Amino acid sequence: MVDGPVEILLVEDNLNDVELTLHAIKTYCPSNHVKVARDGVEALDFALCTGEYAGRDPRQQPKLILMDLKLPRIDGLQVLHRLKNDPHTRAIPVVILSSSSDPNDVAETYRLGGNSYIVKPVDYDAFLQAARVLGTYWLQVNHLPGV
Amino acid sequence: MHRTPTTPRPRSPKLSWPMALIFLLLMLAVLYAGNASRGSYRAELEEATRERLDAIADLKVQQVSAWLTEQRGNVELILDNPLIASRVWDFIQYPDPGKLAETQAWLESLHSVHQYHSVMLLSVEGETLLAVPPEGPAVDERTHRLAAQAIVSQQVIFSDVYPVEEQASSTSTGAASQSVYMDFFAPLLVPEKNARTSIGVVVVRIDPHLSLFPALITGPTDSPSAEVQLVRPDGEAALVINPARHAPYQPLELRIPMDDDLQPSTWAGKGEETFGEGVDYRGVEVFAATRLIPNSSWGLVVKLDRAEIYAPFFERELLTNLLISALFIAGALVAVLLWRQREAKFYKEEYQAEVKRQALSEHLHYLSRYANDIILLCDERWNILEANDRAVTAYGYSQDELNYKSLLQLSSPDSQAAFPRHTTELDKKGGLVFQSAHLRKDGTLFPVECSARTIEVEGGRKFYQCILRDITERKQAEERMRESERRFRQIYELAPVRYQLMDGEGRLLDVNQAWLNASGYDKATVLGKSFGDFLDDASRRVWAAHFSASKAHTEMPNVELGMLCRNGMCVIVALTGKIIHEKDGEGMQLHCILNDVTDQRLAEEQTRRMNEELERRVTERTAQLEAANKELEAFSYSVSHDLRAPLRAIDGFSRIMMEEHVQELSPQATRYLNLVRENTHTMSKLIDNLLAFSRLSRQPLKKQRVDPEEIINQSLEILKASQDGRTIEFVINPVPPCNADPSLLKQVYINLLSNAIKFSSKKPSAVIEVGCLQENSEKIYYVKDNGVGFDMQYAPKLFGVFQRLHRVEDYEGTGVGLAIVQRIIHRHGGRVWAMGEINEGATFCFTLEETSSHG
Repeated sequence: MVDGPVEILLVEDNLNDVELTLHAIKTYCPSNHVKVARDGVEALDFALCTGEYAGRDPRQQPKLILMDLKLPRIDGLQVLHRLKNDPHTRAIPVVILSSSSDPNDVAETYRLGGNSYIVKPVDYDAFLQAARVLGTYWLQVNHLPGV
Repeated sequence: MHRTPTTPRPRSPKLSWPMALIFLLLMLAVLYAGNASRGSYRAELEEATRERLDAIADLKVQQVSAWLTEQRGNVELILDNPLIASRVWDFIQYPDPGKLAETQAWLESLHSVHQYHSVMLLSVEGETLLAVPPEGPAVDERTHRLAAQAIVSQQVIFSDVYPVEEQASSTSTGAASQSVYMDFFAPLLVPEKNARTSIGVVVVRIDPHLSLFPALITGPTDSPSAEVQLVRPDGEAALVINPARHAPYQPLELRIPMDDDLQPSTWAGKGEETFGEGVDYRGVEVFAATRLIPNSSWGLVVKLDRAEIYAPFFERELLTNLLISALFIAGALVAVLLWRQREAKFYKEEYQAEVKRQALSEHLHYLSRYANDIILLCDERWNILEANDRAVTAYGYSQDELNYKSLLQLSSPDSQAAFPRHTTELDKKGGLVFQSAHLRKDGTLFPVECSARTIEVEGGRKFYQCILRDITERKQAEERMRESERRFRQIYELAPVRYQLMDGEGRLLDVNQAWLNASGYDKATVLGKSFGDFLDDASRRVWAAHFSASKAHTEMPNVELGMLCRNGMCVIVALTGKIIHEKDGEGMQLHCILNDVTDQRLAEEQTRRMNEELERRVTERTAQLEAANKELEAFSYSVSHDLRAPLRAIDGFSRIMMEEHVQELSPQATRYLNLVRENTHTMSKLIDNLLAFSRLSRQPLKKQRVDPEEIINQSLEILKASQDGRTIEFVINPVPPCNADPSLLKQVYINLLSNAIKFSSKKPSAVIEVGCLQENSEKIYYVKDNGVGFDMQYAPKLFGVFQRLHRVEDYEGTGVGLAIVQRIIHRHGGRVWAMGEINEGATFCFTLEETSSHG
């Protein structure tokens, strides 16, 4: 449940991965500041304040979007494309968290304006480390607009 | 042919009549001018002469007249002086010495004063009373007569000049001359009663030589020829009183008959006072003026020799004549010169013409003599009159023999039959060319072409000139040509290829047998038709365009057309042609070959369709393959993705559990959880390897020039981490550049080196050698280690997928690494193998395809 400002938008359809990710980032972002979208449509609706999130305040945007590429309905790259083409969401850094190391995916991500690409390691220790670094960088080190 | 025609020619150049006329006129003009000038001068001269003579004559007349008058006067004084008469009467009556002396003295004074020759006193009886000089003059009958006359008439009587024959006596004139005197008789009159009576006569005798004649001579001018003549008529002649100048005529010696009209003396003698031209006593032409001396019977002639008068005239005339002559001569010379020149030119031209004529004649002669053709001159019966040398050699007869023959005899019997016909035609047309066969002396025949002409000469004689050419060779050549023609025609007709000949409009002029056979038509149907008529509709258009495009060139490029055969079948023919344009650019002929390419085309069509089919299939297959690949890619992707997810979960939650529930977990539980985690990692690696392996075959090979050394270094860098602080000695030998996909080659080296590092981990001092050997033009790349090695027995299994020759707990790994290496090397077209020895080490070798390398 989200109450309070959404810091991070996590787009992931695998519940296991959701839990693991939330667990990993909880050191710098409590779960209540993370909005989980289960697919691309929900993600877009949320980010663009459309559909079921039509009433949301568009000025309240997450500081970071973590997104998997393999999503039902609209997949990650499409969402990325939409996000980066919309002026309201263009500025939000998007970090792709994907199990795929396919270079095409990587290339396409950057081509569409994605800010970072992280491969989800199977080894949870490695994932924890990656998450820490991620959080430190994007939420603390990196300057986000409007913050 | 030895005669050359001669025509009479003028020997000298034609006189140019106009020129001559002009010359003549010129000369005449000159003459006329000369004459005119002469005439005028002559007239002038005559006039001057006349004037001169007139002047002289008048002067002389005056002189003479004066003299005469004076003389008479002198005498008349005596007459008129009565004193004298009385004294003399006294004397006569009383002749005493005193009176005698007185009278004598008076007579002497008379004599000396008047320079008389002699003076006499005569009595009335005629007796000489006194005379001075005393020896006196002769007193002759004349004297007495005249004295008597004087006495009677009581007038002075003049005796005129009369000759006296005397002995040669010197007179004042010098040379011996006949003496002439003239007497005056002056009667002495004394009065008696009322009259007078003569008592005596004084006779004075004058020598004209003294003063008269000299007066005549002296002239106002010194003229060499001038002569003054005193003339008195004397019967039938004119008597010249004074001595002649130019001839030794004494006074009163020259008598000129009056009828000699030419002599001016006669004019004076006749009493004419005139001027004119005449001929004097010398026979010399003279100009003369005549006068009459008044109170006398004398006439005066003053004459000048024509020559003298005309001397200047003659001079001038001479000059003029000379000039005229000179002009004449000059003119004549010029004329002659011109004439000569003309003559010369004429002759030169004549000569040149003659030379040319000669040359031509020679030339003609040579031509005919040495001509290659037989030249015969025949009469109207065809008898040979002349033959050239060639005729001799051709027929084998000698010149003489030929001259006895007729052309008919030389012709073959067959040809002879045609002669009358030829002759008629020849006569009609004047010239004829016909072929014939002639006989040689040895009886052999040879074919000739005869070119004959009729020649008509003045007099109506007709000749035939024939030029005969031995056409044996020509006939042979014709025969050869016919033969050749026949052969070619055969080739043409029987050729297996279809020939057709077309004109500039695309109409068929000729086709060969093969054409007709193939098309099924007969020749009559085909010829004259347009080629397009035999084509199918589409081809007709193609043909029309092709034909008009190629018309202007010399080659007709290949074109395929569909021809319709008689039986309706359509065959495809390939037409190639050559175009020959007529020289005048008007016509053209198109020689074509038609090749039946129907089968070929069908075959081609089939092949094409098959190829298309193949292409299609290939494209299909490729598409299929691509689709399959894509599917596989997607499959692998999703597989890996989906397979990994649960692995993450397993690992993740295990980890969390260990972290968060560490107190509740026994060491064994923890150990199990760790095993669980390890296995998930293993599986993850497997999945990665499988993915990589499968991707490998789908990945396109991007071969390029690479430096393996660089790749080796990069690989070692990546593998550094896996060395775990071990001391490994790397020996990197020089590896020459090669042609390979860099990323794949890197994969190869990573795998091989990783293996080398892994399998030598148990050795205390590991040495890993990398390099390249050159063996039989092959480059063998190797990675050698001194690790655990392997049993060569199992070498074939080495490169199988998931095949391992060692236990996992000894050496971890999934058994995919070498499979990947093999896959990559095989894709490069190379070979990979390994050699090993247990516990000694292993050497892995590979080659890359050399043939497609570019250096």
